[in-house]
Amino acid sequence: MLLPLLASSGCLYLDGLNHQPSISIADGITSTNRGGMLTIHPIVNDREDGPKGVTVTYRMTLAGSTTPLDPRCDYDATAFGNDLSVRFFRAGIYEVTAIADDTEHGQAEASVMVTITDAPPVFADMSMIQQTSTPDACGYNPAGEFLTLSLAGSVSDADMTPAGCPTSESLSYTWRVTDWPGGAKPVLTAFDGTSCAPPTADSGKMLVVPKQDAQVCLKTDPLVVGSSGMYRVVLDVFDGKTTASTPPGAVEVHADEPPCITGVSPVAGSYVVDRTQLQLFDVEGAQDDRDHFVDGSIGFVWSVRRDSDATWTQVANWRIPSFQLDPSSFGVGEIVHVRVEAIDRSCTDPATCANVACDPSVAVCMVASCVTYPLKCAKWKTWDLELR
Amino acid sequence: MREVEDMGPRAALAIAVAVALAGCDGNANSNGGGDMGIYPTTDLAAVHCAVITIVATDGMGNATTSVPATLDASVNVVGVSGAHWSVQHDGDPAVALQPDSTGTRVQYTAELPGSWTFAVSFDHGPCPGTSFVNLTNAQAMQVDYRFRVLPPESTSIPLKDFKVTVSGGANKMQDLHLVAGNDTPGTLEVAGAPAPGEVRFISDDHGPDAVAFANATTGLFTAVLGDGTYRPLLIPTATAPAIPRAPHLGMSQDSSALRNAVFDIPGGVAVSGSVVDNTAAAIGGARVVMRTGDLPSGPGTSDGTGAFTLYAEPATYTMSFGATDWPEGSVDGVVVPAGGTSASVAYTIARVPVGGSVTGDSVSGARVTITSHDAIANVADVTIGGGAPVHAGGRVARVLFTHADGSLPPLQLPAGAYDVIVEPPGPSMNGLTAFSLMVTAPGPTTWTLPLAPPVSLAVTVTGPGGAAVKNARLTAIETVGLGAAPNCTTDLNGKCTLTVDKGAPLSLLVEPSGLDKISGTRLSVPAGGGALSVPLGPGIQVTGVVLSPSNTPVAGVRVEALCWSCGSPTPLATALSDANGVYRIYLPDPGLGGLDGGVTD
Repeated sequence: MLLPLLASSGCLYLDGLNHQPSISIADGITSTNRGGMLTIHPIVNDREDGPKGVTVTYRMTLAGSTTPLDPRCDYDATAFGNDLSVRFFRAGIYEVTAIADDTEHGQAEASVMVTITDAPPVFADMSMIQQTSTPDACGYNPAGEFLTLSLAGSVSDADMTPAGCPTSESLSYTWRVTDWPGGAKPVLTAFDGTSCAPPTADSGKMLVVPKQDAQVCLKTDPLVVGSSGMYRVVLDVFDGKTTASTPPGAVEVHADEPPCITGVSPVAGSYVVDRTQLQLFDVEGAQDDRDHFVDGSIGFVWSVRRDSDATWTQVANWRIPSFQLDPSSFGVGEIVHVRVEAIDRSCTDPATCANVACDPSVAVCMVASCVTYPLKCAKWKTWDLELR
Repeated sequence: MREVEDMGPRAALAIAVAVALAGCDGNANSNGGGDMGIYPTTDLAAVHCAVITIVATDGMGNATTSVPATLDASVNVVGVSGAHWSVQHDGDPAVALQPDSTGTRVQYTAELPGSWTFAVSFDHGPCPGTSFVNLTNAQAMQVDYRFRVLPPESTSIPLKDFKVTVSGGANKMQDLHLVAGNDTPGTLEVAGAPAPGEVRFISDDHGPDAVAFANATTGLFTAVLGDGTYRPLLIPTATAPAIPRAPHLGMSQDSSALRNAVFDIPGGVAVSGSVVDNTAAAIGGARVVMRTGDLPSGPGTSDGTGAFTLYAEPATYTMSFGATDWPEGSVDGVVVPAGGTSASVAYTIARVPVGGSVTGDSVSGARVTITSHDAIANVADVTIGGGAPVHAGGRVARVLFTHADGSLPPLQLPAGAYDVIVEPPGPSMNGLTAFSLMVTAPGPTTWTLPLAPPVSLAVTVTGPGGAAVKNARLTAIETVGLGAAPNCTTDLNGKCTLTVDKGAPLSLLVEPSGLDKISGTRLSVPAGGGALSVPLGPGIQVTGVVLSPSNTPVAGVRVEALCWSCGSPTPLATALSDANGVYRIYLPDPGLGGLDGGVTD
């Protein structure tokens, strides 16, 4: 029936042939960390409709998996025209397929493989371990004492997981002592904002803290060798897969300096005194790198010796900076020596201290000290009294 | 008094006055207790007399004992009439007072300190009565203190004394301005030759001495003097027995006149003699010295023949002598003339061998101090010049150390009573132990000296009103042997416990925190420990800034408050200037009476 119709009209009219649209995705950034934004920008065209007549839809699959992706926890995509901004929240290799449709339902596809990785924790530029405790009067850190440390700077992880999704990731913070002076057994303890927790049996060279800006306490040990030593400490941050660490923070510690007597009254020397009069001696001032004259943490040992005595007699339980001597119990004309020696926390009894500062026969014992200028001071002073 | 104190100060004062002054007709008891009160009939009035209660209050209504004060006098009776009140100040004429409508109460404002006596009589009522109250003038009561400021030696600023007068009830501001002092160089010579020695400039007003030491080869020295006058005391080092090196006490001079002085002293004259025992045997190593006031002689030590020579300036001295194993003795009025003199000492006292040992722990090297309990009337005969021998009194004063087994070294002592102090070397479970022991002739005597452990002294410190004083520093200074100075700080309940040696009397220094505004104290505590309560009174705060000669605050300077008039070297209170140079010292309030700035200490 059609053929006679065609024959009678003399012409055969047919619709034009619809061409498929074209689509391509130029190479660009095809990898990022979890939560990193990628933009897919396809180049489309259509012979009949031109580029504007082509619409693009997307399909995303996880390579090697047939499980459909969860558009909330696995990715988040937003289209702008034919472009697509997409963030993937799970590590893996994804295939993003762009599907071009023209007005005549002609279709074409282009794919790109996108690699999503776990980003490691990253410290901000210039981040480092800083000491928050105050050095002693010499600007030194005292060996054998607590030091407090914190992170100067910050650390972050670029990975992102939408709230409520199962792959949520958290960072853990671990302080670690990496180096210490020979013979030392340093431990890290928590800092409660005002003081350091005392070490326990569980204390060690590592300490986990809840947040990156938490201060920690490093309990150092007295030096076994030398007058200074170095501790090194790092902060490790772990995101569940990768650990990032600060550069080691170096903390130099110094041995306790001996306390110094800066003044006595009367001036140390040889005196002829009335043996019927009580003799009073005062320390007017003393300095130390860690202890103080004002609060009594610098103490004093007073000793007495007659010329005829072989050794000094330490006055028991007399640690205050003033001393009184009743010469009347000594003989007529005797020569009696009175000595005062400063003591601090590291040596409360000179008789048992490891290092003897001077020979006992020395009237004024000068020792090196960082706390006074010119870096020498009197560990002890002596008065000589002739009782006339 | 505890019950009275518990009733509060106002009631306490009223009752105290009433009890002390109760009644007339010499029958104080008849008006006390339940008899006080109602007089309904003339018959009772005939046998009961008016008891006047006086309450003294200050402008704030608080009980007071000082002027100005409102005196409220009353009698606790009813139904009286025809009241006649008067008040009398010390010996002044009595002043009539108008009572209130009941006739039982009058008020008077007392401006003057002294005794205020109220009298009352009634036309109808109890028989007349009188009472009085004593009022002080707290503001007018003053005490002088010597504030001694001891800058650290490193500052090269000399210590300085300040006279500080505190008045009753009033805090005081007083900056303490140090002065640089005047460098006073000089030279010490003996007979024209440079001499080493001690150069002491003695302040004429109880101020601190200035001391310098003359160089061994040049005799040069530099002392730092303040303003005022000083007496130079020159004590050349006795380098050799044969070289005259007697000390010299110069005249008082203004400090400016002492600058660049050459002190060429003559070296004294010889005093030669011998020391022998009671068998006329020579005693070698005996020491002989003389002193008159601040001026000592040179030293004298006997040789193997008992002979000695010392040098002294011509003067009249007290001569002292002693030797190992012999008592010390002394004689007054020893005249050394310009040409020198001789002095011979012949011991006359017999001795008894004494042995013994210290028992307990730490017996090796224990320090044993032996002193005569009583003075010995005659230990030796001393002959000066060509005079007759005089008896020299004396005593034993020995210090020795025990052997490794605790035994005493060989010892001879005159018969008599002795105080023995044993101090074990530390650390020890035991402490200083005191003994009263006898040596009896002919001996030998053996002493057993068991060491005793320390004891506790529990101290409670309270402030005004009985409140506990926390953070008060207590220092117990033991005053026998070499002593000890244990210390502690009171807790929140005002308590702390000292561990003290059993045999040692104490001088207990109580220093409350400056924040408490109460005064410290120093008190004597007998040996033996136990419990002790220390009530502290309100303190007058003396504060200010310690200033350097360049007028800048000086930190870390020790400030001592000493008695002004007595010259006692024992501080009553101490302070240390803070970082801003500020010091604070709390002293007893003179307005509370009974204070003398430590004169009695």
